[in-house]
Amino acid sequence: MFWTYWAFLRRDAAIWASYPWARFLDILSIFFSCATFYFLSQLLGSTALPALESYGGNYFAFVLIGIAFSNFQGVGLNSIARSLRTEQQIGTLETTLSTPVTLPRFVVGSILWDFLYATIETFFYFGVGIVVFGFSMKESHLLSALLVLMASVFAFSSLGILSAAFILRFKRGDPIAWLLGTVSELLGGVYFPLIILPAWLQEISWFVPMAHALEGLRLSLLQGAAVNQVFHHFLWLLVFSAVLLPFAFWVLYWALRQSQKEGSLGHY
Amino acid sequence: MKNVREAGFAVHSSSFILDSYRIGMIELQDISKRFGLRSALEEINLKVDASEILCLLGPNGSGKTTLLKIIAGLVLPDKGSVLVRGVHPQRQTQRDKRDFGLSLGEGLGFYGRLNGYQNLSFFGALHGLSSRALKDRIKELDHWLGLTQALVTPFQQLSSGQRQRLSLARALLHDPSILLLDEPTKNLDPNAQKNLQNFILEQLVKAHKKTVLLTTHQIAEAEAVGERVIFLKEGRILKETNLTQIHTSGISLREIYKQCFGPTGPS
Repeated sequence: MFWTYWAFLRRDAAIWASYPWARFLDILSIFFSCATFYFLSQLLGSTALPALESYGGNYFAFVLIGIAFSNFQGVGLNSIARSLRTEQQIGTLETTLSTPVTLPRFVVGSILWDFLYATIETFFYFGVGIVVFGFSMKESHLLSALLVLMASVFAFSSLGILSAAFILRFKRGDPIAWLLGTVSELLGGVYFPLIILPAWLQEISWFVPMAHALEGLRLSLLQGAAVNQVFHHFLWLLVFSAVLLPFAFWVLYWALRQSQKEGSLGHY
Repeated sequence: MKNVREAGFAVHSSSFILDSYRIGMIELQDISKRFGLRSALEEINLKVDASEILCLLGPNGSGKTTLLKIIAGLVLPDKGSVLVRGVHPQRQTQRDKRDFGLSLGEGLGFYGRLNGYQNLSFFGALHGLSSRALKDRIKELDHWLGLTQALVTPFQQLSSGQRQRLSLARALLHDPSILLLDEPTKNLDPNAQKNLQNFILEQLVKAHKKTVLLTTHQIAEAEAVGERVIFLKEGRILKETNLTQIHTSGISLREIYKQCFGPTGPS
């Protein structure tokens, strides 16, 4: 099993390395993104403080965590479907599925590199934030953050598997990724605290995995919240994953079988 | 040990395949498949014995590739069943997939940015080959198929011939007992075609006892490699013949082809 995953990682790392300019621009855009939000936080100054009180009052720190970790949702939600679609387009899906590799292993293998790369990007965000813009992690409780992040990855990936099933079956126009991607920007709390939303919208926002992920991560990293203080967010994400993950795999197998019946496995 | 290199294809006998000699056998029972309103295959009954090379001959759209994909489990039939060594593919374990080596037409299904070695390493790992075994195996396949240049060149920069050879190498990576080859010599020049056909017949089938199902729309290719030839048209088996029958009857494969498909047809 390890060798199979290692093969996926090596494949994706080699493809990644074959586009050096794109990688350089990825890193550069992290710096510009940090700078943009840093100056926005300067503009907001103390006016944003009441809404950010429970996160330490610093908008830059708040939004840095939002944009750094929203990457993980992007990977979980899009990367399996994107990988499947790419494999369909270049014709490797049929050859891959004709090997002994199982569908779950194929799915996990397809997203390993993207998650690893998202982690590296997150370190870059924090590195740039700390070194250039004075972001501080002195109060952080890393264990809490790690637990919330792991549960988030499972939750996002469950949705990503559903999204991939859609791509396998209908090829394009995936509503799951579209809906989650759009809704999470508004209700996930990436750019602003959920407390500024109307009460009824706040109620709805707690059904969005991103809201729990970011709330747990911000409390852990900015306020040093211990595991018990973010446990309800962790638990929500875990239960969400436990319910959705088996269902998502069931749907993915169904989509695979439908594609095999239609003979459209390699179509896109 | 005999080692002959002809126009880029090395023909070499090796202990690797001989040591892991296995028997393969395929049986198709009443296979039918429709894609929408179009019938792709209709009531196909076929049996392929171990160490046999069977050639599926027919024009484009006759159902050859669909048939291979059904055998490989990539397409599910609407009706009928496929038995491999007496076991239905849907009931086969993932490990049983190692029985098959699949080469789909035109050498597609590779990662364009990766070189031949990286591509083969990836697919070999999916078949469970260890790093060491992969290295040895790729070296061996390089020796047989003349892959040296292809191994270090990104796939997207390879010629059609190199892609075809790489595709065959991938099918052979895990030493399967059954090879499903979809138009393996398509886009090759006549000399390269001849060498690859020779490699398939002499080395894979005769020397290493592989069971081979090969599709083609070229009569000359069917003549060159097919011990048994199945004529497919619009998803139906029109005729089945073998080399012995052809030799004794005095009717050439080309004449049979004309009887089946009319005077206009493939090369």
